[in-house]
Amino acid sequence: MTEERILDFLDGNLGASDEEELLHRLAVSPERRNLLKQHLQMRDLTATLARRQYVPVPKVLTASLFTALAANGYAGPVMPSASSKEALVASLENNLSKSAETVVASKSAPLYKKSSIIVLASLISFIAGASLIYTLMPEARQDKFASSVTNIFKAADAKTITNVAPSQASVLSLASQQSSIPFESNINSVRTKNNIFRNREIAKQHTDNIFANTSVEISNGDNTISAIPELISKESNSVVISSVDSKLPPAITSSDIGGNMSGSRNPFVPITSQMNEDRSFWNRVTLSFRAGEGKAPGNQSALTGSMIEIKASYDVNDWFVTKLSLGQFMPYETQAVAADPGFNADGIRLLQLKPQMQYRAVVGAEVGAKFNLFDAPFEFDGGIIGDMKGNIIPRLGFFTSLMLQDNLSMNLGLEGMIYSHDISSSLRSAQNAYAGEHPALIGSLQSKESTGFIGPSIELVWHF
Amino acid sequence: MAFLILHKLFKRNGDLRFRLSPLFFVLCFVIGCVPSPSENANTPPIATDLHNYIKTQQLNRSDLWHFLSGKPLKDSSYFIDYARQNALKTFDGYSPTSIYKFSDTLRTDSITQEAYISDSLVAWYFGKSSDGSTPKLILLKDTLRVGANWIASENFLTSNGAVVQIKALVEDYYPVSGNNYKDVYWVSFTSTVKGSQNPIEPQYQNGAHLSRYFAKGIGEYLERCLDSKDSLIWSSELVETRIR
Repeated sequence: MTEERILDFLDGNLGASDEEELLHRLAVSPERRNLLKQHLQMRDLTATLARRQYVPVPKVLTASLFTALAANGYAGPVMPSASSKEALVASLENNLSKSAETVVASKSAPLYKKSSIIVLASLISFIAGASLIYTLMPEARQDKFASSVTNIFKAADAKTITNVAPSQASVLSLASQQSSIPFESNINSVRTKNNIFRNREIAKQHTDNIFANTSVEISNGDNTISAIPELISKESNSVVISSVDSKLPPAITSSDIGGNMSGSRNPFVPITSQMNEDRSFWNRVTLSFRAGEGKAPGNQSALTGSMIEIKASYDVNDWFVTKLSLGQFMPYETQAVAADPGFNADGIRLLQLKPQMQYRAVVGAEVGAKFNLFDAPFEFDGGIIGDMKGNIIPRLGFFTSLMLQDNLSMNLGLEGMIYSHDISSSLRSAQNAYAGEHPALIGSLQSKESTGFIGPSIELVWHF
Repeated sequence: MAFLILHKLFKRNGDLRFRLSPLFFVLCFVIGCVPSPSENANTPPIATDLHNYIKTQQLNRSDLWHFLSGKPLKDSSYFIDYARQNALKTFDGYSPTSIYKFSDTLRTDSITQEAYISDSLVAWYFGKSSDGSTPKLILLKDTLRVGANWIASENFLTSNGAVVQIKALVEDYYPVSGNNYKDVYWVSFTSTVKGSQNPIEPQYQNGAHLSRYFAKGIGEYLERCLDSKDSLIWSSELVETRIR
């Protein structure tokens, strides 16, 4: 009753007489004053989280909240048995291998049909490098979960989890029966199946109700993560939500909450990927600078093109993104030019075909699909660029993402924009220019060439 | 430089992954920029179908040539028409021969020349081919390739009776030249006067060379005469090919 009155008091809903009575009760009861302090701290927390994007839950608040829960008789959940844990691990491994096989099979068939071994080698090395770095280094996975509430655990069937070792417990790292959902924005509610804890309401939640439900969700208004009560237990001064897989990272304690997040942030955790669809406009927008270069298959030159551009992206939903860009495309195009020396011994003017760099201002439009491969985020983009002179060039890209700062990430990948260039028109122009001199072409004759480039590309992305 | 920047950027994290990432990026860059092997092998062009490099034996075909000379000044045009084929053997025993008529633009004062044309030999007769005294020039022989050479005429008899040895050399090959002619061979014919009498024609004077350009499917389309000091004396070029 007192707790409800405290909430009403904080909300300004109490009448003058009730307010006087409540303050009197608080004045004579240290326990009730502590309860008031906890509500004030919770309110302060939610207000802070609403202003910051990556803020860990203060450990003091967590500890005090669940100390209050313990004081009301909560003894923690029953841990699952060991045999179920082994079954879960086996199930997880089976599922992971099936996913990997599916991905490899779907990628291999078209790739083997590629005529250029360079393209194939580059693509394979890109996927293999990005994924092997991540998957073959256990510390990479550990770091992923060590930072804050922004990270989550994954469990294929959490209800079968048993006998979770205390060392594998993690405070506010959540297990979900759903696919992983990065939880990285402002927490403004915690709710169970039947109740929701919002700023002023969180204290209304009776402690006994929290773990009597089948799941607990933490939401920031944009994202929601579900946890099952079997994974939730209580330690001395904190409530922990357990990891279920021995391969998963070690536990973090309540002292980790609120620690420095920037020191060991997993670079493969994107800032904005896989968020739910109710993000604000600016949360969906990124601004980036991209540069790439490479060569066109079949072209003898080592470098046949490059491009720099600035790009604005908008996440339509969790996996689909649209982009507009403005930049400079610099392909090498073979042109007929005067040779050196310019004349043969007979006095005939000589021409030669020589790659010439072209500078073209271009605008572009792209759409992209985001997905996870080997636990690393990847993005496949496709679109066109145009030089505003009627020339349209298709482009494709395949990127992975590394986080550099809270609002800055770097995309590394392969990008290609290949087109066929008509050399003969250039040759005709040169012949016309020297029509009276019977110009002769030296070297080999090409009428068309494949130019543009397929090559590495780097992109620095600013997240609003 | 890019590698150093990336390395510095990631170094503060102290994690091997962060160091491998730029390394991986550089690896991608290197792999992506390996030059492809040439898909247009630069093999020396050769031609064994010599008949494609000489005037076609097409009835009613008429080639208009433009002659321009500075010494003495002369600017004229003339036609070369394919007349017919002659089954009679030449003085050297070749058969058949093709008969061409040279005439001015008014179709007057025409002269007849004959040619034996095959895939391995093109011999030009400046008159009746059956007459052993008719000056003969081997325009093309065997396989055309840059550097190929032959004796075009050992004892070429000029109009004033001078005897000249003419050597032919394939100077160069051009995939495209002139008026979009394809597969062009530049063959230079250099004259060496034998005896004391000098020829009247500048192209047969000692040390002079006459360059002829042969294009596949077209035939000869350009002649340029240079003296022994490589000064241009005259030129003659195919201006137009028409069907009468």
